[in-house]
Parts: sequence; structure tokens; C-alpha cells
Amino acid sequence: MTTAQASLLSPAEVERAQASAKAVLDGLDRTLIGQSALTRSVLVGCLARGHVLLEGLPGLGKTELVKGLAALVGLRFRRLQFTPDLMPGDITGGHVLETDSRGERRFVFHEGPVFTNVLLADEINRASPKTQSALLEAMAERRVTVLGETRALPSPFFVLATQNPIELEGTYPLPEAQLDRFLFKVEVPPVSSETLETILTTRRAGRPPEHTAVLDEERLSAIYAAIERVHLAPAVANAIARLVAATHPGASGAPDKVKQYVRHGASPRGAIAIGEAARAHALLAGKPAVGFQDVHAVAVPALVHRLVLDYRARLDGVRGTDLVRAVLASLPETAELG
Amino acid sequence: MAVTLDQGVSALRRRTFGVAWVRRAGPLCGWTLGGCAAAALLARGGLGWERPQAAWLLAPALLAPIAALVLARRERPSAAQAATWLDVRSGGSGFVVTEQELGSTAWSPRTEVALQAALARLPRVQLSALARPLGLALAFAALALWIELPREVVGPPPAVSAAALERVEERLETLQDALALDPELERELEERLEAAKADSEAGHPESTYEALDQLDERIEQAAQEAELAAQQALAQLGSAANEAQLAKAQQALQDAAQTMGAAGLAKDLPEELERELAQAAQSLAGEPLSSAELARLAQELKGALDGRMGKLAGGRLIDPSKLGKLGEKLSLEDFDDEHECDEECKQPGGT
Repeated sequence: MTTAQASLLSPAEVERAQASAKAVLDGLDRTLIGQSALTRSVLVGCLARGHVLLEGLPGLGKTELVKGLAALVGLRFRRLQFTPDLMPGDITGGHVLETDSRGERRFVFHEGPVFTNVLLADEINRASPKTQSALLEAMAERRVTVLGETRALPSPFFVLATQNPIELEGTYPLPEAQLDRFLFKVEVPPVSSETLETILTTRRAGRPPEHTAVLDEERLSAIYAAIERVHLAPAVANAIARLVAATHPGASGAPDKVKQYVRHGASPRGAIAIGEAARAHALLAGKPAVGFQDVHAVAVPALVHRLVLDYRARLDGVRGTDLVRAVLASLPETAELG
Repeated sequence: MAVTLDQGVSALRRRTFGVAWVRRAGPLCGWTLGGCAAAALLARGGLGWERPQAAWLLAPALLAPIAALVLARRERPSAAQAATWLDVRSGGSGFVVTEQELGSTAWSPRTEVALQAALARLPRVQLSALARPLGLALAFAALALWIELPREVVGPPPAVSAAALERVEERLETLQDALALDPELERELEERLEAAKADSEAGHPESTYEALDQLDERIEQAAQEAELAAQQALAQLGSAANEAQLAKAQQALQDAAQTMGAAGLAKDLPEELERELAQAAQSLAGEPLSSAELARLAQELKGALDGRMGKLAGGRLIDPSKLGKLGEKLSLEDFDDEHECDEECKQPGGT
């Protein structure tokens, strides 16, 4: 048996990890009724150790979803409401002059809300670009540098940010560099009338059910370890590479829509994001290896925010989602999976 | 029935090869066979090849399926490509490509399910892609070999048309009909005609046309000589009419008869006329003919001359428009049957 064969997850290992992940997913589905695609995307993003940006109008349950996730996985959770007057120090923390027991005065670092496992950055696009960029280092490197001192963030660490659609008043669009650091951007769709009826009849004042943790740190680590071992076959990696390459308007394999409406395609970080997210998706589906269907499932949330669209896209009402779907339809491996 | 990955890959490669061969072979065989059949048709029609000989030209079409095999082999997917195809067609679960890469059998039951699903969707061999062009080409090939080609199409194209030969032959017959040709000239013309026919049958168009041209020129020359003689005879008849002395008029009449005879224009003269002309020739020394007899003889000679020239003109050997001009040269009404010339006799029209 080769090393690669030995490292392939056994059916029992996959089953255990899948069961743990499914427990979280079921809890999320109980929190957010009728949004199973959304809850799955959020869970996949978290299992892939990525940051997730949720976009949707206020009142759709974004905050409750994140709170529920933190409670279910048994991690520390902090919520930070982004406002126009929020300062970078309000996120990272800062030094405060204190007097110790011996009467000596010195600067003591007080950790900001970023020092947690799950950070809910609520309405992130309401803060100024300066404050938004304070999250850059934390999101990319999982550490914070204040006054030259670098401090590691707890592990795991992921940011679940919510934002209102950028067309609304008093919002600052996130810079491309920061958007690129989000593994997923997930749109929160409006709920159906049936879902609304269920919420009204089962929840007093819309309060979601209380959650108890279904995972502990050990089981969460086991899931992460299993995801690390989910195999990515060269054929699938090749498909991911071509998928991302096809988002560039100058690429030979780019579909016409991309050539027409995209100014800049996805970065290599986009390909890495698809690979990691597809691993988590495969495990959640009970598989030891990534398949083309996993790539297809995660491609839209992983790429949609990485495309820089031309002004014509806005004029013609073409969205990033349409363009990623066009790219998926142009690849032989993913064309039939829609 | 259990299906292993190797079996699935082999099945797909075989099927892909078959599909590619049919897709390639259809147009390739069709066009090649069609081209060969066209060549066979041209060989039969243009070079006069017989059917068995022309059928050999279809042989290169046998190379087309082999060429299609070579091309189809290039399209056969590798094992990795086949595994990817099977994986995608089974829903893209990743089991097939993973087992193909790692060779691990831990997940074989799932792989087998995927393979079963994919094998049910193998590409189908579209026989119509082969049958349609090949059928058309076969039909054309059969047509090219078995149709009866018209006689003119078979063999080399007729270098000398029968019409050209017939036209010259008709002109010669007209000449022979109109004139009493010199036997030597007649034999020469006949020989030239026979030589032209022989050249035509031997398939020598250039020499045939050359012989026909020469024969035609010779016929035209004889006709023109006859025309000149006719003009001379008419002039002599004219001088006979204008002659005041009967003896001289009779002499001119005799000259005209001789001119006609020498040029072959005296063919088929009535025996009576010939006898009277002979008597007139004998009487030149003695009693001259009366003016009435002279007028009648001149009239008959002119009639005979007109008949000959009419035949030549009818056969387009001389210009028919010149016939009228010839007739104008002599008006036999000038003869005065009652006139008896003496020494004092004046020229007609004189004072």
C-alpha cells in the first residue's frame, strides 16, 4: 500500500467526521429555517477554516446564524458591530496605562474583540476603509500587530462578516484586497412565505432555539484533521485550475460573457479557496476525496466576490454569480453538473 | 454484474474509439470513394476504359477506413482521461478519479456504483454518420461503373465529326452531278475523299481535317473554273448574238459549245442538241444556219449552261448571286429571226 493510499480516509473515519459535521448542520438548519443552502455554505466555509462574508438585507437572520454556529461548535464568540466611527483599535485592542500591585505604572495590552474563535463582524461595510483594513492582517495571517508587537489569535479563528448590499446609504464597499481574504461570499436570500409562516408559528418574537454545543475542541480538531486528508485528485485539481483561469477575460478558455463583462479574474487565492472548500464539502457529503460536484457546489461562493466586473456588467444587470455559472458551464467537467 | 475500474475504463476507451472511427470514417470513406468513383467515371468516359479496368480505380478507397482507424486511435482517451469522463458522467463524485489515481480499493463499492451509472451513459455510436455518406458514395460508385455511357462519350472524343465528312462528300457529289469532270480529276478527288475517311476512322483528326480542307479547296477550284468557263461561254454566245454575219455568229456559237464541253458544262446535253451542234460544225464550211436556228441553238445552250450553273449554285459551290449577273450578259431576244445580214449589215444598235 502506497503512502497516498494509506492516507486516504477510510469509510469509518469519513462517517465519524461526517456525523459530527452533520450535527452542526442540523443545528444551523434549526436556527435558520428554510435556508439549507446558506447554512451548508457557512458550515463548509468554517470547516475549511475560511472567513465568510454574508450579504443580505437586514433582518434575514444573518447574525442569529453566526451566533448559532459559534454555540454549536463550542467556540468563543464575539460580536463587533461596525459603525462609521469604529476605530482600528476597537478591533485589535490597545495598550492601557495601568498601575500594578507594586504601584508601578506600565502599559498593559488589552485584547480587542478580534481575540476570539468566531468573530461576528456585523455590518462590516458600515465602518470606514481604515477600520476595515485593520481586519486584514487578522484575517490573512491570524495574528495582530499593535505597536510593533505581534500577537497570535486563538485557533481556530474565523471571521463571519455580514454586510448590507452596497447600494444602501452609509456603506463603504470593501476593498478588493479584503474581499479576497474571504473564502466565501454568500448571499442571504429572502425567505419564502412558507418559511415565514413556520417562524411565526414556532417562535415567540422570532427568538431562535437555544443551542448547546454539539462539538468539543477535540471533535472539531478531528474534523479539521479529516478535512486535511480529503484527497484532491489531479484531474479535479486540473479542473479547478482551468476554472479559475477561465475567469480571466484574456484567457483562451474564457466564455464570451467573461470576456465581455469581467475586468479582472480571480486570483490564485480563489483556486486555493475552491480546493479547501471542496474538501470540506466532500467530507460533509461523506466522501474521502474531492469530486467535480464539490467543485461545482463551492465555485460560486468562492469566486463571486473575486471577480472585478466591468461597468457594462452593471449596465446590463449581469451579476458575478451569472459569470461564475457561465464559467462552470464552459468546462466539460462541470457543465453537466448544474 | 460487478464492474471494476479497469473494465469501465476499457469499455469507455473501446466505445470512444468506435465512435471516433465512425465519425471519421463516414466522411473520409464517403469522399474517398466518391473521388475514386468520379475518377472511374472519367476514365470510362474520357479514356474509354472498360468496367473491370475502371473498377480498379476504386481500390484506393479501401485505405480510407484504415486512415480513419489511425485518426480514431489518436482520439482514444488515456486511462486518466477515461476515468475523468466516467467520474463526470456518474455525477462528479470523485470516487472514480481517486481510485484511478491511488488504486485504493477501500471505496470500491461506491466507485462501482459510480461506474455503473457512467457506463449507462457511454457515448453512442451513430451509425448514420457512417451509413449516410458511405451509402451515397457506394451508390455513386455503382452508378459510375454500371451505367451505359452514350457511344459518343465512350472512347476518345470524335476528332472529326461525321458532319464534316458528309459536307465535303456532298459538295463533291454536287460537283460531279453538275459537271462532266475530267476522269483524272474525278479520280483524284475520289482518292482524296477516301483518304480523309481512312484517316478519320484511324483516329487521326489532324490529317483528316487537312485532307478534307485540301479536297474542299480542290472542289471549289473546279467549280470556279467551271464558273469562269461559263462566263466565257456566255460571252461567246453574246458575241454570236451580236454578230451581223451569220457565219461568224455560227462560229461564235460553236466556240461557246466547245468552251462548255471543255469545262464539263456540256454534261447531259440533249442528244438532239448535240447532233445539231455537230451538224452546225460541219456546215460551217458550207451553208450557214439560219438566224432562227442559231437563236434556238443558242437558247438551248444557254439553258443547259443555266442548268449546270444552277446545280453548282444549289450546292453552294459558286455564289448564287452571280447567277443573275451571268444571265444579264446575254439576252437572246437580241436575235432578229427575220434579219439577213449582208456586207452592209450594221451592228445591232448601230445607225
